[in-house]
Amino acid sequence: MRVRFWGTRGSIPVALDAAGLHAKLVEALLKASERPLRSAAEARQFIERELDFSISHTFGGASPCIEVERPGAAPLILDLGSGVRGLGARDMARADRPRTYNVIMSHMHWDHIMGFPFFAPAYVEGNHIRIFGCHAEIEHALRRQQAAPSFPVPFDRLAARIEFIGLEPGRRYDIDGIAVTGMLQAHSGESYAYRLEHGGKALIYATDSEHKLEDPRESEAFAAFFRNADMVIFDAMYSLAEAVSIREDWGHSSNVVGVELCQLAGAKHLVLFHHEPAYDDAAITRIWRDAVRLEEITRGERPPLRVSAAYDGLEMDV
Amino acid sequence: MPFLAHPRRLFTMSRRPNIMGATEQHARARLFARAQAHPLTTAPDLGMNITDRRTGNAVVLEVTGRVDNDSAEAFRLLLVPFLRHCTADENRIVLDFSGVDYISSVGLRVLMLAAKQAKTQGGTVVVAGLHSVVKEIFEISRFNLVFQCFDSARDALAAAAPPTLAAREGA
Repeated sequence: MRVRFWGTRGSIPVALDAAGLHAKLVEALLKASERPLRSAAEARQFIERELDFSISHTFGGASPCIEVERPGAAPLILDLGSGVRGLGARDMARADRPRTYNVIMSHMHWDHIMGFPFFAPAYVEGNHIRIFGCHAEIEHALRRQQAAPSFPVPFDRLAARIEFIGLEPGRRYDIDGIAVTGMLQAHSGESYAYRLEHGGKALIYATDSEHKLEDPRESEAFAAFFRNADMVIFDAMYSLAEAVSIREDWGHSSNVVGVELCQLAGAKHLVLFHHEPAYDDAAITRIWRDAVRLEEITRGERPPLRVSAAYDGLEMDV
Repeated sequence: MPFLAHPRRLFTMSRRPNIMGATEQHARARLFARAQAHPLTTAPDLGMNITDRRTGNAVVLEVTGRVDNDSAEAFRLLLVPFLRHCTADENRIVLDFSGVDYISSVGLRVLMLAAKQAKTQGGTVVVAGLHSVVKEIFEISRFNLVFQCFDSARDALAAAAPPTLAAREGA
């Protein structure tokens, strides 16, 4: 499975603004002034090798959308945040139509559905979009966001064939060759984690989930759901101190709990996701480095846990 | 008479694997019930010890070992009687973590709850003596930004109640 992140920001889309870009340029130019760069190749090499990620890149600001790609299979899309607009634009530029899309929804909060009215393939006759999920109000929420006066094109005017298929948490389903199991998470209005298994590999999508830390059985249940996963995409929106104090009951988690649950589960790769919109690239980089360090100092006899921070455009194989 | 009371061992629990097994759960529940009824009980070792010593209007709780998912509930229960009387005038709590090797998110949450309760009563809970791994965990979790952290229990006492330190030095 190839995992492609189209949107990684939580709550609301954000964009790198002029001041943020300016600050990156200043830092890059200062660093570059230490040596002559004689060609574009040398400049590219300098950017890739010597600049910190928070200077040379941006984590991006589209809201949650992930594509799971397999050769010869329909794309599997996890959530319809603003990132799905880019996915649709890519496919509209391709010649092979009509297309089928399988979509799995974690929940129906705004940031996870707002991209669908801008998902161009939904307007193409002949395309087939199958929307799966454990949440009871998927169809209602998607129809409502396109109703007047919020959007000019009502849901019924979408030309693609759109199907809604409900899933039960705890049951294993076959979705186009991928075994999918859902699990209820603590989040306002309910959200669901999913375990995707294919070809001996397991991918966990567990966003918008608060881990209350008051009942060890809850942690054990998630560790069992994450057990030996090859990749865990995890809600790391807040610091632990925020998550258990001023942002308690806001429905999100932390890098610290992500590391601990993955260690408990024997997972191989933790991917920090659903970044706080107030954080700039430097802040997200710090959260990632902190998670890497936490894993190092608490590893003990366990095999190493790889820790990454997702960014818009990141692609990784599972 | 020395100013510091003799340290009392309040609680010791043994570290056991598979804490989530049903039998383990029941055993643990019995253990906690016993600890609540008889705070000075020594129980099988879970890898964490607490001793207390009073210094004037503050109490220093010396914690040793690991405050992890297995021992955090015991840690919470041990704090209960001290927190009950933690006000602006008495029983300010200094948690001496110089003997703590590790603290998990569950243990940190216990600290946060303790600090919240103390605050509502006008009291304070501070930590002292963080070192190596535990100091880093505080920084990574940002608990260093919401908790008053002192290099040592002595520093914490000096900051919280200077007369108490003076009394201690004169003892």
